[in-house]
Amino acid sequence: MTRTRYIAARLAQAVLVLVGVTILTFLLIHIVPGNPARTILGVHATARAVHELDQQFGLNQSLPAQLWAYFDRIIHGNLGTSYYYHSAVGPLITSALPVTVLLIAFGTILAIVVAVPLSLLAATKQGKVPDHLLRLVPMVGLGMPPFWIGFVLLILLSLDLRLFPSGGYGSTFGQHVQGLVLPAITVAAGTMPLLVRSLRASLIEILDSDFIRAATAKGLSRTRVLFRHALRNALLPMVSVLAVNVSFWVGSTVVIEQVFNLPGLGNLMLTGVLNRDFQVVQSVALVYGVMIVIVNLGADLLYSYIDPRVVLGE
Amino acid sequence: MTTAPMTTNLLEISDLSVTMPGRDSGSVKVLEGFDLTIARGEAVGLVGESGCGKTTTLLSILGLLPRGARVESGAITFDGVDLLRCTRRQLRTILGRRIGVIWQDPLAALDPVMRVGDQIAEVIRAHDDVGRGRAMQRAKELMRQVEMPDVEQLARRYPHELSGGQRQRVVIAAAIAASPELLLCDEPTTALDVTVQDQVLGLLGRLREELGVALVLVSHDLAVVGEMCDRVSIMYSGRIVEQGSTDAVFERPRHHYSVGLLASSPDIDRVGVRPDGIPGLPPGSVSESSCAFADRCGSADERCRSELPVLGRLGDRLVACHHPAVVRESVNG
Repeated sequence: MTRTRYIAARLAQAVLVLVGVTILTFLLIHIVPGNPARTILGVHATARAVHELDQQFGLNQSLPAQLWAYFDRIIHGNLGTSYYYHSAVGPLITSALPVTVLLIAFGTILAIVVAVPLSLLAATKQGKVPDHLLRLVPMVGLGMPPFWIGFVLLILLSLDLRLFPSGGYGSTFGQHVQGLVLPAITVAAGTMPLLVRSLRASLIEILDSDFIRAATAKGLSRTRVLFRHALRNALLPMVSVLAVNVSFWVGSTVVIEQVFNLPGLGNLMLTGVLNRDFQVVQSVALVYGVMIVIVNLGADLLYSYIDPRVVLGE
Repeated sequence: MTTAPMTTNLLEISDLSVTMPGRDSGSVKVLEGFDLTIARGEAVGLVGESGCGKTTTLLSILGLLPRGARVESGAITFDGVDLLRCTRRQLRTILGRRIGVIWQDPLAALDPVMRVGDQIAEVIRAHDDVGRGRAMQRAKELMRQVEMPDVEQLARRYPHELSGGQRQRVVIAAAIAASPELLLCDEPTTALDVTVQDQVLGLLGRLREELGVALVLVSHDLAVVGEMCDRVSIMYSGRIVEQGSTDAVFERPRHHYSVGLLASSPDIDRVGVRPDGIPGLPPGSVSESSCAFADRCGSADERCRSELPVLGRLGDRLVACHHPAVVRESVNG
């Protein structure tokens, strides 16, 4: 199977997944008690006013009819109108999406940058003090929930030392980056231990393999043996770990964005749920689905790029 | 190639003892009082059953013993440099440059995610100050030298895309890339198809003539050693039990293990006759106070079980046996 055909097949699969996600979200929204019109108009509104607003939103139609209307709009590129913000959902998402994507990307890159040298250190000093420390300390990080790490970082670095803003995203790119430092560290603190664990394990196995002995016997420098031969091979399992992890963080950003008051997708989702803003919830869930599909497809492509033995589609 | 006098030995291993971590906290001796000298251009075979210390010997030379293994005593001197005591940096100027290695399993010895051309070229770049393009050009010349076809195309392939024989040719090309003076071969044909074995052996023989390189050939295949080597050391349970010229040892073995080993290799002239084999299994660790082969030897007596035979001169060779086998007529006769 060629690469293009593989990607096409995977994308076709993804469409099915996304239709499933949409139906599931739709059902969940309507199972959860609460009505958008009632939420908007308040507890003292008359039943008649609520009924009129329902009619305006199309909420008095049958569920299948509503679902069909939603799909019809989506296919035409219309994500609907937010009941709460009184504006189109599309622009709401385009402004929130970069925040979340940057946050996850920033956090993941940070985790990789820290995990690679630490794993090399642990693997080459296997069973010695650095190795034991490196196996213990990240476990502590893993034992703490992300939001708690976020709070600790806020209290220490923002409130006490005033190194970073205590929340918010600012309006310039510089402010964005500043605002993302602490949230990204929070993401990295959850990802890094997993990376160190898997990378250390695969490095130890690889460092004991014949081709590393052969590379050393060629008289190559230690640096070249470690980076060009050992690390390159150890990256393969790391890609899988990362793909699973990034998918996990797509969900976890809901909490982190709340802690750091970032106007990302998670924030949009939470406000949407609290206000029974069906259109927003539905569309953000769809965007989350698309993100996870892209991450997994990207991981597969990256895998076949790093390892020539991997044949796509097998 | 070098200015050193031809009389000095290229490689001298003296009194080498190596231990490996045992199943319990203790350690197990895997090599004991091992001596071996190799002159420039000479080919020496190391023969023995699995686990007798052949590969350990090679890895000791390269400083690549597995984790936990320790050199307890002895010295390994390559052209005057003590390999066990020199710095890592010094060792790097010898490995790959002056000592090349041909590994048993070429698929395992090649980096799975690197193009084979690059794996040859990196040896050249590690030891000579040449650019990428020049090194790759040289790598392709080497691939032609080891008789690979379609070099331009094959150089861009990954190891898994080549056949076993081609992979071993790549390993050989990498081993001779920096024109070494010594080639260490660890069962170079064991992992290959029978038809390819002959080709690779022919290639090795030809390269040896062309390059004048000395050879240590570890093998349990007596035919291979007989064809390639000037001298042979028969190893049993971590020690050398018989050492001499290949002709002498193969035609008139004096140690009973050598006799058994030669008898258990199939003979093309005796088709249908099942080779004799040696009853029993080799001991797990090196023995200190008896002949390690005593339990499997027909000629063993009380002395063999209570006194370690030392390697001593016996006519044209060295033998470690209290009751050396009587010289028979030539085995091949």
